[in-house]
This record gives sequence, C-alpha cells and structure tokens, in this order.
Amino acid sequence: MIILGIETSCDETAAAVVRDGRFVLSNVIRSQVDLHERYGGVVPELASRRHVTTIVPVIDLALEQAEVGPSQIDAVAVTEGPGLAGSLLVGVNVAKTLAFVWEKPLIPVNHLEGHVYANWLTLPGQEEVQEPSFPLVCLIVSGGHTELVLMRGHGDYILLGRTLDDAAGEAFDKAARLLGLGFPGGPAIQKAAERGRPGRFSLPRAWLGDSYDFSFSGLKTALLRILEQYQRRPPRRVTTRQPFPEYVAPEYGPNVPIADLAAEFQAAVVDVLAEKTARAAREFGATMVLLAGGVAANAALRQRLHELSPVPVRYPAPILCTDNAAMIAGAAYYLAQRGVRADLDLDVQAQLPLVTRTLIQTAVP
Amino acid sequence: MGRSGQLLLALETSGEQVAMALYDGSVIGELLYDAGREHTATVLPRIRELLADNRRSIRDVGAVAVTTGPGSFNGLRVGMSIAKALSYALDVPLLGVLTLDALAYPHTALGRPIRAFVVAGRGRVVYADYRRQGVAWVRDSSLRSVRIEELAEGLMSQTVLAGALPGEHEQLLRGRPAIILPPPSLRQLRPAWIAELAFHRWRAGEADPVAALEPIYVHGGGAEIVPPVQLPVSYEVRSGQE
Repeated sequence: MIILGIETSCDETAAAVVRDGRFVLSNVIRSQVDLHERYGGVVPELASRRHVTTIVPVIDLALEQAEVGPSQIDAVAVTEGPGLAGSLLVGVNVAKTLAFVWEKPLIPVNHLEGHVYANWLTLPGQEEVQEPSFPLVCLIVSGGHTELVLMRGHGDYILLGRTLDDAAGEAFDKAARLLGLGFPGGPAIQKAAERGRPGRFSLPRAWLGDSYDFSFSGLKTALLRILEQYQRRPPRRVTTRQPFPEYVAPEYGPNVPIADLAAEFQAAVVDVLAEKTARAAREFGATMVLLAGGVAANAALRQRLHELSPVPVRYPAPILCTDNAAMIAGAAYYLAQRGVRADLDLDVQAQLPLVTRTLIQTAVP
Repeated sequence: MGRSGQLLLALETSGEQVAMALYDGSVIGELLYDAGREHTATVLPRIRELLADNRRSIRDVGAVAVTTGPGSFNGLRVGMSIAKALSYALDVPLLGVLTLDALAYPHTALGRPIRAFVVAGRGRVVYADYRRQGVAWVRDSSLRSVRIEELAEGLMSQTVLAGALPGEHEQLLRGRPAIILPPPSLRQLRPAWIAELAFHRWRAGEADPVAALEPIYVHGGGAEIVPPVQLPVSYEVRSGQE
C-alpha cells in the first residue's frame, strides 16, 4: 500500500511517499527556519503564508522523487492536528482536494502519532529498520509537545505524563533566546553546550514527586535570574515596518558563561526526561524505549537514556525526528488497517490530543 | 495534459459568505452560503454537491478561479489551498481574482467611477477605485485602508459605492450627493461575477502561477496607504460586452 503523506502543522511544509508504513520512497521537507529566525520563534501567520506558496511544489517533488504518479497512490494522508490552525488548514484542504480529484481514501493522522511511527520507517538505501516490539514506552518531545506514553499495540496509547507548562523544545527555544543563541533553540543550545561544563551553575530539576509529568518553566526562570547579573540589555522585540515585531538578542558583559549555562540547561532538561522515561520503562515492563519528535535528535538526551534505560533505546534518523510527512504516511498505514477514514468534511483539530485514556483515574470524592 | 473542458469553477472564501460558481460563458450553477468560520469543513463538500447538482464531474473542470482578497487571512487560505490543489491535480489553469474587482464589475455598465470596498475589521475598510479608460475599466494600482467613516470622503463626482457595510454604518452612505448606492444584493459579492471575470482572462490565454499565487494580506490596523501589494497593475476589468 503506497500512501502520500502531507504535513503542515507548524513551520515545515512536507510531503512524502511511504510503502506499507515502513519504507520511505520520498521525504520532502521545506523548512521555514530562514523565515522565522529574525523573530526568535515561529510566527504563526507567516508560517501559514509560506505553506500556501510551498505546498504544491513540495507535493510534486515528493511524487517525482518516489517515481510514482497519482494512479499508483492508494491513499492520501494528512495531519489533522494538533498544531497551528492556520498552518494545518493548508495541508488539510490540499489533501482533501487531491483525495477528491484522484478518488483516493483520505486518512487523517494525529501529528503526535506520526512522530511515534517515525520509528517504524526505513529511509531509502538504508538497512531495514526492525519493527518496534510492544509494550513500549515512548517519549514524544518537540517544540510543541512533551508526552510520555505507554504503547501496548498499534494505536493503543496510555498517557503516563505530559508537560504542565512549556514543551521541552519550547524550553530550549526560550532559553536560546535568553542566551542569545538563535533559533531553533535545541540545536543551538546543544552546540553551545559542547564547549561548556554542566554543574558549574546549578539549575533546578522539576521532579514533581512520583509523577511522570514534566515542568520546564521554573528552569527557564532560574536561567534568567543568573543571566540578569551579566546583562547589559535584555532580549527584546522591536516593531519595524514589518507587521510582526522582530527579536533582538540580549547583550551581555564579556565574562558571561554562555557555554556553561547552555550545558547546565541542557543537562537539567535531559536529566528529567531520561530519568522519568527509564523509570516508566521499568515500572511498565516495556520491551523498548522509543524517542520521537524534534528533541529526539538531541545527542545528550539519547546518551543519557542509553545510560539509564533498562531496555534498548530507539530513535528515528534525524531527518525523521523533525516534522516530516513520511511519519504521517507511515502512521496512516496502520490507521488504514483499522479502517480509519475521513470524508471531505474533515476539519483541522488544533488541540487534538494523542491519548483518550489515562492510567490513573481521578478518585471520585 | 491540460483538458479542453470549457467549464470554469470559481471559488471565493474570503469572508463568512462562501461563493462558488460553475461557468462556461454563462452561469451553469451558483452557490452562496453562510459558512461562519466552518470553511475547511464545508467548502469541498459543497463543491462536490454543486458539481453533482449540475450533472457535472470534477473532471469537466477546465480552469479554476479563486479570489485573492482582501479578506479574512485564514478564509482566503482555504480557498487558495483548494484552488491550487484542484489546478495541480486536474492540470488546468489557475486564475486569481481580486475581490474588489469582482465587486466593481457588475456596475461598470453605469459608466460612473466606482469605489469597491470590503470591511477589514477593527473599524476599517479596504477599497480600490475604478475608472473608465477608453473601452476598459482600470483599477488604481494601490489598495487603501481607511476607517469606515472615511470611506466616502473626498469623492467629487457621482461614484458608485460597491460593497456592504455592517448594519449601523450603512447610514453613513445614504443620502450623500456624491454617492450612487445600488441595492444591497448588488453590492454583495456574487459567485458569477468572479467566474465571469476569470473566464475573460482564461479565454485570453492568461493564467497565474500555481505555486506562487498568494492571497493579498492587508493589515487593517495601521497605515493609511497600504504598501504596494502585488497587483497586476495593467489588469483591466472589462465591461460585459466585447
């Protein structure tokens, strides 16, 4: 079964062709980093505008690189949510139209489920990736999400914990703005941290007791307090002739220990993510740990999880960690097996959750 | 490759009222409905119905027209996404139509200058002026964003106002000597006007680039003069007879 996947939930315009949920035939991603860099983060309105002009060429290229035509496509899959409404609607309307004209089934995919299923994918020319085994624990970490789930079978998710405030990737973005390291924050902080020493400063880890939930906003505030001692001018937004205010990096004195602070910040985020994920794997008898989402590309997180996890740790290739459409086409295959279909009235779901079940029910008073 | 079908599908989603038409030199079928904010959920099902009701298939469509604004940003993106995907999947020409051009179009027969406008939110309107030049009608090259109260200011000769203001503001337009005010139903954007304008361009062999065509994003909040938006300056609004 050959599926065309389309993904426009945030700031990547992506289309891909995947066979049987496992084999990537093409994976085209147009990043918008150049567009959002000067704003220090994704500007939703600009993201949707860019999708409008890139979506058709991206789809065309994905089909061309996969060497398939519409007649060889068995279904069209699209991210219905969660994400930015104005961005999602571009992909959803385009996907619906293609399914209509080409007379193909339309499969709606949850963006978070897509990230999970990136772990099932083999890239062209690569050795075949083994199918993950159940039960497994999956940590989904990206700019918009931090969720720890127990997966007992295809489409069977139990939410163990999630962030109570900022997503991990969002925390990296905010810290990078404070440190003047640019956007996107994750790679920028990882790079700066290579030259730094964690532990020279002490930033808090929010363990939240036995909970599998996460919290990163206190960490960001603690970083801000330290940086203020060195600050000559804080980061700020300036209004230019553009309709959106631009980001101006902070100015610091010459002795500001950016690298050490980046290293400690990264260690603080990674410690909590890795420790809770490893603990969940032990508690629920997982056969493996999966990482998913943009922050899964972080080398320190991977290494820390390898150290702590009682079971093998798997993560997708970097190009499949970032937002992409191959993961959407991949997840769609398993959804199609279970008969999931949408009609032309499919709408975007900006707040769509991954899981409908939680492990611990709130006690009835 | 490109189909030789004579049927043009026009689509307008820039406001709560969604408009669509099938046109082949005359109107085959039209639909105008109040979508509220449910554009993504409703537009494609209605296109399917419009085709079926008129015993046509999507494969009969030989050109796609879409309004480029000004209007609601997300609304415009719904129409633009559908129109682009239709043009791509059917391999047929795509034509963008400025909403203001379509609003002005039916009034050209009066021979008077026309000011077409749409409400832009935050108490503002965006307008463009049209005047006769020989046999053609020409639009000023820039759109202007003003407060609603200023819409009719500075009009010297008898000018047709094409567009609708929200309830209480309609009063502002009544009884002013410099204004010709057509009945409300002639000032509401109709599907066929968009189709007919696009049809002229299509027959003239014109088309817009499928990837690059963009809605016109007018920010109503600040500037008096909207900075140069990408308009085809030489674009002419022709009156019905040629």
